[in-house]
Amino acid sequence: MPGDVTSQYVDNHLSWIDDSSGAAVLDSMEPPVSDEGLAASDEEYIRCYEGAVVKPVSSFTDDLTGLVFVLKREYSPASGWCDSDDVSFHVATFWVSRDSELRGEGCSRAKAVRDHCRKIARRFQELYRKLPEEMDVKEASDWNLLLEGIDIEKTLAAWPTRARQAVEVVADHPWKVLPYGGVEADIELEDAPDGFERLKAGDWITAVCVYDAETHELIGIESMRPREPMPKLTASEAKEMLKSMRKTSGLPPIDWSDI
Amino acid sequence: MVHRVECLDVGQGTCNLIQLPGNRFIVIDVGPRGGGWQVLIDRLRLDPDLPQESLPVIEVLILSHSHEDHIGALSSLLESGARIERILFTDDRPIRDDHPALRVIQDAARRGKLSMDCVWSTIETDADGPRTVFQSADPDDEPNGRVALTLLHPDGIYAKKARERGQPNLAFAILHMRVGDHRFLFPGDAPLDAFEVVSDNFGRSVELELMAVPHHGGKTWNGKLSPGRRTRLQKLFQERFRVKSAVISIGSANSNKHPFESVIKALLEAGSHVLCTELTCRCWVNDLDEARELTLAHDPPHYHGLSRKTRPVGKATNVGCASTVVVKFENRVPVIERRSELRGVVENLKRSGSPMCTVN
Repeated sequence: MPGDVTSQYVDNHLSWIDDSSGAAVLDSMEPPVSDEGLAASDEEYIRCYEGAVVKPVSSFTDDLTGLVFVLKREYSPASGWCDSDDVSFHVATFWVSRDSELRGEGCSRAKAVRDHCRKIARRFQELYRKLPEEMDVKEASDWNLLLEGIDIEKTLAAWPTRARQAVEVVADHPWKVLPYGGVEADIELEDAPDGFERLKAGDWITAVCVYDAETHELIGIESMRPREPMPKLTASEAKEMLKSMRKTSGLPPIDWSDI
Repeated sequence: MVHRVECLDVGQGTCNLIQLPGNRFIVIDVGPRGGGWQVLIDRLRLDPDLPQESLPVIEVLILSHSHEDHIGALSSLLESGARIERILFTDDRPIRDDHPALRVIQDAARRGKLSMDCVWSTIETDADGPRTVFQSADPDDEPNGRVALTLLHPDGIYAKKARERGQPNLAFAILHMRVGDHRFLFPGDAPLDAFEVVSDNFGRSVELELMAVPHHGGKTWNGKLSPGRRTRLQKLFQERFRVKSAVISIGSANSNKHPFESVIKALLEAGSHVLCTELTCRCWVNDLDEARELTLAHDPPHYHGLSRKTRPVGKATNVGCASTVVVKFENRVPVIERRSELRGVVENLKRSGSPMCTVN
């Protein structure tokens, strides 16, 4: 998503210029404030003014989590200007209505769009953890609304897998790691957290490993802390451990005819 | 209440998931090391950033036996913070210092990630008869019928043999789940002999809604499937266990050449529908050029049109015929999701070859 932008008129068209890069990031075919539009919410007594139509997007990245959300089609984030008795702010939506809780709000168009992306991302992740039959009416309604715009299959396929694992450093300069239960992989320092460069072959860490969603290859380590090597279990320890375990013979018996 | 039953596509390995309400699960085997375990981590939504209370609860984790393709993901599962109430673990190896599951369990317990109180072992020489592993509390509150998970096997003799001989497949756990009037069987890598023992104990013909086919449709004992064993296998599925849907959990182009045609044939002849979690070398079309043209209806876009040669071996991304098989309940009746889509895939395969699978 773009950072802060300022608007400029170029050839009678309004363009939004990214403050940091100077590039045009949003285009409009009409001035930002024109006729009075529909009220966003009757209860809130907010008056909306139709604004510009900005450059269409087919996906967006949640800037808090870095997760990519793939949309079912291109959407131009319809943006507008709202003012109530006390505050004035921009609003932005992709496919949801202006009075939705998911609408984006901000002091600039870009911030409103970004806020909208964040709200979609947050709500999606809340509801994604539930099965449809576990949702209440409101949640089911929101989930269906989200699925109107989000291509869930492509979105989930694009998300990397993150998992906490015990990892052995098997080589240094350059570094190779072997997550326990995984496969050996090269790791670049730029893909590893601070302090990784001090690790030597034979060190063990507990790390949040990030894997490519398609290839399942290790693409980076997000965070880490040192840990003891995965212990070897001696035969006597194993025997002692087994002895201390409860046995399934202690589970309730059931007759074959009752199964 | 069971929400759904899933045979996950973890590549060449086995991982079955039973979802209960409230972010609770029963997990039977966790899949292989390598890439397949990521499917389980993703499916359970084990995000390392989530607070503890948001992480799923695994009511029971059952490791059917200590082969890598069934327990390889154990370390990653324990590290990733799932709250595991109970582990049922099959002590099927001679006591040496290389026991993979014990090593991981001990490490997790040592670091406070697991209470040793939650670990149960199936080593026993005096236990006869099945044991109840999980049972829903109040049957009146179960919209889909009462849930009961039962450990049918191993009995003491098999566990002892497995340890003495160092053959984990002898001591596999066979799990039976009943949801209302519907039965599911998760037999790990159980050999034919054990099926016959279990069948004799039942003493009657058993109708199964779904069976996770043992040993990935491969050998049913040590070695080849002899004509005599083939006849016993046919008899088993025609007379003793009547399986509606048989799911083979498998990785494409696997070196073991699973599944065996004879196993699938026995299931088909008995009227079962056979689904693979991946498209396998055994039922893939012979002509690679045709294979490249073949697009599976539910393949992720990045695997469309890839041949078995270009699909990596043994990773869960080798999505095949069914990928993860999901059974949902509609009006108390189990229904396999995407059945019509799967039918389309099989029809597509029929045009270019002779698929061994079938979806009716």
